[in-house]
Amino acid sequence: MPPSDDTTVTDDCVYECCVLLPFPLSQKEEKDTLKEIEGYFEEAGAKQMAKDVWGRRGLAYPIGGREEGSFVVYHYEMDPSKVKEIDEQMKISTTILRHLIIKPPKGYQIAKYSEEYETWLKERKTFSEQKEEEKEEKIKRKVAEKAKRQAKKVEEEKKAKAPTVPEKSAIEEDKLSEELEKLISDDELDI
Amino acid sequence: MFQPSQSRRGDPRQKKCPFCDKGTKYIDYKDYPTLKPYTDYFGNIRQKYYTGVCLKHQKMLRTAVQRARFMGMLAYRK
Repeated sequence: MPPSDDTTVTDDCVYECCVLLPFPLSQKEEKDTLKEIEGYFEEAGAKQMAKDVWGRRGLAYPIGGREEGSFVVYHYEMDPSKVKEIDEQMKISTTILRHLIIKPPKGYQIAKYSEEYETWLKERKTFSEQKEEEKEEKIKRKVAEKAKRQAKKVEEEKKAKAPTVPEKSAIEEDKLSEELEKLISDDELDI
Repeated sequence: MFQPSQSRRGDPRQKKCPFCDKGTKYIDYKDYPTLKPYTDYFGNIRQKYYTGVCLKHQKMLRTAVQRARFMGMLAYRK
């Protein structure tokens, strides 16, 4: 067992800090703000584990009158008692729109979501294209089936009507005309 | 004529939790692609009755969505 004086290092916890910055920032300002944020952590004696710059992202709702922002995610290993100081300092700073400091659970593996999001966007595009293609195919199939059905119907109607109706009508007309002639030719009829 | 029931709704009790299948222990608020399908058009969290998520993961999902909303990744209300 190590002596109790060295336990300050082992007491440190991993913290995740997500910062939202306004997007249309000049490069100098962005650098300064990032340096500022990192300065807070350095003052607290934190050890940087990972830094993930997401870059430009659209916001779901306007924050501070801005529709777009850029996210930066830090992973730091630091003393839990100094979290409050950093939180207050971040609240005071004017350039940061929002910030969130949380403690990830045990066994959390740091993943870079900036890359995952981009890949997801690409996949999503392909997925939506696939869906559209499927829809078009469905519509085409439906149209083809309809056309087939209509053609069948027309043929059936033709088959049903064409051979029977004209013959019948011709025979009936002949009969009618004959009967009429008979009637007319009959001299017994006095009108 | 008996037709196979395509339009009939499935039994909600038969749904399985998609997070349990993968064995997720923590739902990250930064993971937009996984959170998005669990919110509806108005930005509300979909009920677990409809999505089939178990209570344990629904609670994780809730915290993740709340955090994502605070950071402006997801909408509070559309």
